Amino acid sequence: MNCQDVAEKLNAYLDGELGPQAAALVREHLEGCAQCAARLRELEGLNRAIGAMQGMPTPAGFARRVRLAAATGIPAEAGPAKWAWGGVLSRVAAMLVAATGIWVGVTLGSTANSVNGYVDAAGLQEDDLDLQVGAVSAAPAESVAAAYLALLDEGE
Amino acid sequence: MLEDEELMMRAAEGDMASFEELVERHQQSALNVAYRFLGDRQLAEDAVQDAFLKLLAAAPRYRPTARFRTYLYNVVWHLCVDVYRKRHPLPLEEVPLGEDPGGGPVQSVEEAERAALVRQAVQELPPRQRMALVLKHFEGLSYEEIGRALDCSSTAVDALLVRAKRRLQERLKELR
Repeated sequence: MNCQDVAEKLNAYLDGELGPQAAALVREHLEGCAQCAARLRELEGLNRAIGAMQGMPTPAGFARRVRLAAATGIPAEAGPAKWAWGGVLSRVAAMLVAATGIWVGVTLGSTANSVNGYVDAAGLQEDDLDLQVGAVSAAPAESVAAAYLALLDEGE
Repeated sequence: MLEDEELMMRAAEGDMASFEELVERHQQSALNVAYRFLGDRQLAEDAVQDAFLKLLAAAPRYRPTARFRTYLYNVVWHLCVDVYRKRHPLPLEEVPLGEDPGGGPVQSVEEAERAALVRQAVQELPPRQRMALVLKHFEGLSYEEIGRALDCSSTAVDALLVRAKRRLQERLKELR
């Protein structure tokens, strides 16, 4: 193995990605070549420097926000911790009001249909709140319920 | 403790508690990958949230032919590239020297300076080289796993990393 071959394989060698035979050949070359050994040390130094790049801490409540975003179809934004639940609860409250209004509208609407059960696994279960979208899935075309369903579709 | 693949199957059936557990297990890794790639915490958080939501949406089609983590990194990669394309060049997030940005042990001023130079040089790498570097150095993925995450072969990953390291060495010499 010559120096050019070794130079191409040095990174994979350090990463432990060479097979045993290739790794042995590289090792043998390094023992007898000061230049390639110096290249190896440089690469090791670079790897250490790369390793010093720091990550980021996980924001508090991140998993819960993702779950809520999945349940509501509304991307959750982080905010100061003391207001995070206030923001979520106000959205939930708004949805409850909307759902109640839609329910009333559909029930009293001239083309109201009897509907049963839930929509499929669209997953509007949210913590302890169960929003039954199935009740509005047969809403008339120009109704608020239809507009609400259209909003859900936009969120996908 | 349930395996990731089992949690994913349960999430596909509407089990949101399983979904949340998956998020909790992998959020730190995913955020670190996105942050080291994008250099911005808010962008990283948005990308990772989107990634988990996309995975959940695709859960009914999920087949455990690879580790869940590989799927996650693949989705994070695609979302990060979308952000990169919209915002290139990305502004570098400034990390005050000597301060701990919160992702690791406190560094000395000298270490922080060197880390800032490395971060700048890494941010200048082409996207695929940058992500290959992040996945190798911080997530410990094999070349084969990186290839699956980046939709390329393990030979291509080797070449990406060699080019990335070469660029970094040249750039760091210029920056010093």
